[in-house]
Amino acid sequence: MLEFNDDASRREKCFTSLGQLPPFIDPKQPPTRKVPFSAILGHPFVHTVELTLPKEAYTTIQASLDSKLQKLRYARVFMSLSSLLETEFFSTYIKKGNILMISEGRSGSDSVFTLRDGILKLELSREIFERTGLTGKPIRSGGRKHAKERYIIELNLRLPSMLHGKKGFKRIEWAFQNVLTQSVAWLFFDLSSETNGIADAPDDLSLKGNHPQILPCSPAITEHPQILVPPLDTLKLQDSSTAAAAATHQAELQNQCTEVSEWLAMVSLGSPRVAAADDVDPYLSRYSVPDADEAQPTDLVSLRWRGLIPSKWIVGLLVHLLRETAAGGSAAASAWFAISANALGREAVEARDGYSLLVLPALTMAAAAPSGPEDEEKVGKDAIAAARRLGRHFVSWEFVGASVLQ
Amino acid sequence: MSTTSQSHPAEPESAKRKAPTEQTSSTPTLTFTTRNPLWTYLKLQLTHQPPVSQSTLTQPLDPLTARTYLSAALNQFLGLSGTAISIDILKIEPSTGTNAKTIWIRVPAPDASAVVAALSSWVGGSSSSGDANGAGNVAWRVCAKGNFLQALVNGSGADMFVP
Repeated sequence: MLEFNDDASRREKCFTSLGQLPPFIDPKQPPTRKVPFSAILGHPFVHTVELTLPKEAYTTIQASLDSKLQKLRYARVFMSLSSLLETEFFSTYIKKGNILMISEGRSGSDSVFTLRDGILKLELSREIFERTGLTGKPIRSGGRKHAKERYIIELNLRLPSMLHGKKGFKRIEWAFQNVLTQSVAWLFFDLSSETNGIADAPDDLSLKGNHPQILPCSPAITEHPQILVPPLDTLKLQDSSTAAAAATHQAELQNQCTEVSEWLAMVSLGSPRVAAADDVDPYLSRYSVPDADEAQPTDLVSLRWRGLIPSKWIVGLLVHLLRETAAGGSAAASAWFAISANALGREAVEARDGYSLLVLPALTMAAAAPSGPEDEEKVGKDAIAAARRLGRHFVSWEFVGASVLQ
Repeated sequence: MSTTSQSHPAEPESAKRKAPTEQTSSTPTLTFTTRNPLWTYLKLQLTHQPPVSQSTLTQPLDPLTARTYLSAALNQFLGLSGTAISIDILKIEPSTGTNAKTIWIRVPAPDASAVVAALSSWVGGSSSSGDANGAGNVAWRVCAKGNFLQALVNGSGADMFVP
């Protein structure tokens, strides 16, 4: 109506997937290629993970979450790039170990560095890039129309040629000592399995020499009493007989997915609009919970981890939750839950902002599954066994390209 | 959808469990991309221009005041048609810490850029500068904008680098 161009908004997207999880997931070897696992692994740097689930389910699994879930720690450290290459740190953490590091700064305007799987990525402006004398390639910066190009340099520090004294390595050292000299704040996470993010050893001088600030990452628990929960069972793919029915069903599903995603975000925002007791004037807000007529007021709990969180841990959390909330002895034990994560180090253009994943309860699905109409009535051991054989339904959303400034 | 006749409950502990020979034909994954959702979400902060008294700064923002400031900004930039843009106030952050006077709103997606332009160019507040309250001027700052609220709720994480 108002004829304002909004370029950023047009580039914003949300990739939604609906489907069924595999019936059995090996905790030691979870799938990597399929959604939702691909979505989780596609976001290597995550700053917030939020888990939302009914309070009833949380109280049953609370103990196992506290005991079995890996405790997280991460460190904030001020380092220059050249101190990454100092012999001790370089061999402990980059050659032998596996760490995640990300530096401060906004992609698109500042120099931003990330280190993952031994690959150091440097995003630089053109002037700095040219001064470093290293090879790189141009990237989209998303800056103003006439902004200069920006470049990314990728250095695989695990290559056999990356050793002190080698010629190519000397060039990198030179660039870090003469051009990229400033000390920046980094977040650091040690991925080796025996540490919980930071090695305990007091004699580990390679990191400790840089005076890291070690931060524990424990969940902040928020209770959301009496929240209107829309019916979630409808978010399932159904086998439709005709193509036309399938198309309308899909269109409906698309709308529902958007609405449920909005609702989940409203819960994690702690908005009073989703509370059952909310009676706001329509002048101030006309938001309503999707399918408000059928929505049930339920107590919800959300757990929020904040810190540098590796994607492997999130997969672990998902697998753990799937097992704990699987079809057990009672219907109450099987519950829906939602995990959402927000990414750090978003690129300037079409950044991957994060994702959220909603897993539906196993048991109601078993009753609705077309496994044979004759045993629909008896929701007993058969239904539980059937529910275990079939995977649980999920919806995952991946968000791309929002402009978060703060 | 076929199910196996003999029941073999899944045991998550045993990794050697045989895969069911009869395929439990799960429904295929449906994937689609949403590009133009109905709403755009904005995180806004109300800032005060000096001179401003301490009481005004600490006074919590209430929804009606916020709505009035939003309407005033839209009215100044777009006139009557601006005030017709529907605004839903989703949340007003409790006035503690750094997030003081921060609100979350949603507006119809086609109007979003107009709203952002209107809000960021507006300076309003008490016209009588010799006010006893010392209310000073106010302005809106756009902290985040996006078509999907879930991408915005937890911020960009830039504060984690600050010790």
